Amino acid sequence: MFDAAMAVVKPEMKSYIWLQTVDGSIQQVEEEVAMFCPMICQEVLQTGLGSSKTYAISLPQRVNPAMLGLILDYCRFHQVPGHSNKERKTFDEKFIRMDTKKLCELTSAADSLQLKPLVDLTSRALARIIEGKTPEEIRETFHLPDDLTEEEKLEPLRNITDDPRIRLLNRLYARKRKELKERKKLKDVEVEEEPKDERSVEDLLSFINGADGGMSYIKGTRANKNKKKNRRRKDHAKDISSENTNENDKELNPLPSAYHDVNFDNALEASASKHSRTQNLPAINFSPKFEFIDGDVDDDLDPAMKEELDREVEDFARRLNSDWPERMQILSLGQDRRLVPISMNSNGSTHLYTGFDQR
Amino acid sequence: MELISGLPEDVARDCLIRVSYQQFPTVASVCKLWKSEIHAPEFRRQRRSTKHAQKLIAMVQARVELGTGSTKRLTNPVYRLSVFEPETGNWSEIPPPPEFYSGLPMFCQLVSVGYDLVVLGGLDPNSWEASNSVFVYNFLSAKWRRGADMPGGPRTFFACASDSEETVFVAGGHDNEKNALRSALAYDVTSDLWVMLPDMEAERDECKGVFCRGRFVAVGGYPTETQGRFVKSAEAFDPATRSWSEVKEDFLDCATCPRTFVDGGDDEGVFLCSGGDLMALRGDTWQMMATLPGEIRNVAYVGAFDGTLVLIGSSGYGEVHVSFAFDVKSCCWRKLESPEGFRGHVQTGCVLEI
Repeated sequence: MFDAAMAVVKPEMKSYIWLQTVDGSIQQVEEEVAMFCPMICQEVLQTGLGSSKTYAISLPQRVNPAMLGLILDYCRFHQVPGHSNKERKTFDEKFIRMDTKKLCELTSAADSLQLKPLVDLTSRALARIIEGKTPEEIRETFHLPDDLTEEEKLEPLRNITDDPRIRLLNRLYARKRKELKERKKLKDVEVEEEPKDERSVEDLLSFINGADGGMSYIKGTRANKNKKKNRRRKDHAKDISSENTNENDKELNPLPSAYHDVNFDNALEASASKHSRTQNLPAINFSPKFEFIDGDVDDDLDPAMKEELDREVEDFARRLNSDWPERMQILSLGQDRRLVPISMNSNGSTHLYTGFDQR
Repeated sequence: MELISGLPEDVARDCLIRVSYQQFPTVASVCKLWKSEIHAPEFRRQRRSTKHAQKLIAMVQARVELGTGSTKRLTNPVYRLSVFEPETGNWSEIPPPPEFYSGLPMFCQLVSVGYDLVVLGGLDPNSWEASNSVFVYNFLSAKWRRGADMPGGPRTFFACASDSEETVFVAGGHDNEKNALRSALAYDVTSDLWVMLPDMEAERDECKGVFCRGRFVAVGGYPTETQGRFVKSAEAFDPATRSWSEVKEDFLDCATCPRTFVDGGDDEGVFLCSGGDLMALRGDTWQMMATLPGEIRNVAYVGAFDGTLVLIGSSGYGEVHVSFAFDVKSCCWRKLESPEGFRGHVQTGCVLEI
């Protein structure tokens, strides 16, 4: 009889822990669930608090009622010893499906309650979220400032042959080369390369920038480009490719500056050019992928893309030109000049030797 | 300014250290705070101590024409950098720098220092000229840069190893006249500077370099006078004293090419493949640990992580290359899968933990 009475009384003697969140609200939670949180466990054991409403345990301010609810759901499931690992994993995967803001709040709350397994779970989820986003998206999601310069922002290497902007540049060069070839055919046997070169530079510039030969662009941007120009001129043994990570070069991202320049040069010259090169340069050569396709000039790009690409080509030409100040000076004076040889020292930095011939 | 708003610094860092190495460039491009966070030495240390660092094997591997099933070909193969993640089975490729449009140099050396992968020397695949070039791929930025050339005359088939933190050591090899060299160099990756080290006692052509227990060890090789007759000796360079130890004769128990010599880490000791067997040095004696599986009888590269060796090899000349993992404790072999595009001939490799 006594046992029966005890049996009736037993369910009401289930232990509860009283918890108070920072907003003042208090809730009672089954003991085994609450004790799953190390912080709560510690409080109960050390201070004896939590056994009644008046002596509720004050939770850290990072734990609001909503987060507490989630955390208790987590504890309620995991504190049961009977679940298999697979069941736990399935629960976890469903559990963390929430928006990023909530996930951050949950991570913070779990951390303040020292609930390591939940912190691990949420940290991992946040890491996966970060992995799936671009830098811009990350900044938006986590409210971070866009305070890196274009040079400091890094773009990972892409498969460069698939880049449509490089393809357009190649087509551009191909077109120019074709025009030069045709012009050459009209001339006599004796090929005068210097005047031809001069015309081709001018031609290309005017093609890109309009009749003023692009001088206005160059003047305007010289102030900004000084810093980059000086960097390039310095003997920098390392990071030649990082110098190219400004927005103008995004389309040619992985190529060091010497590569651009040599490419450009070749596009402008007639095929019978005596372009002097130092011994070091053969290492920098043309990838067969960049073989100029004559005649393949059809732009199958939509007008908007084409406009953008035109702008980028302009930028590219402008950038090249900004590094050849003497040359530009000569251009503006309309004097004869010869294309400059480019040399690369063994440290990988480039020096542009400008030379000109006055006629 | 918080790393992740709403999270305490250490918790936010906990999230960032779990991000895969392939996203490093993205993380470094978000903002100044994230960039400095990922570049800080503390980041790498915490990644490693919490076992979130990823193990990678980078290797110089021939590109395989898909569909042929074998690497037998009439033309010279083009080598590029493959990256294998033994923990996930993932294979990927690192695009080469533009200077290597014909492929990586033949017989170049590969070492890792921190987040950097350093490609040294080798022969130009078209002209077969020896080059002393140094190219560095950085995993944080996913970019190549050119380092200072190795000083001195052309040098190939040298020993090369890194202390994984800052320095690359180079010793021996041969010059353009096939004279075996005894000179040694060290390269500081961060400052991009080469320094000469004292010469080795012996001339060592085709020797193998490993860095273990704080010393750079040059193993085996042969002198100019006896071409191809590999010696069994080794000598160790101690960076602290800047001097080479006395030559240890009979370091190897048989005169063989030391190419597969690898340091398994402090607990495991060193290993070598010889005569179809995997040998381990226990104390002063070499013991046979296991027979090599037939598929990797010709071992191209052996890499070691704690307690596990990864061996890449083929069953014979021109055959596909496959990888096996060997657990040192249990002496068990496990074949690792590789997709068709990653079964080409492997020249050399190196392990990274980033």
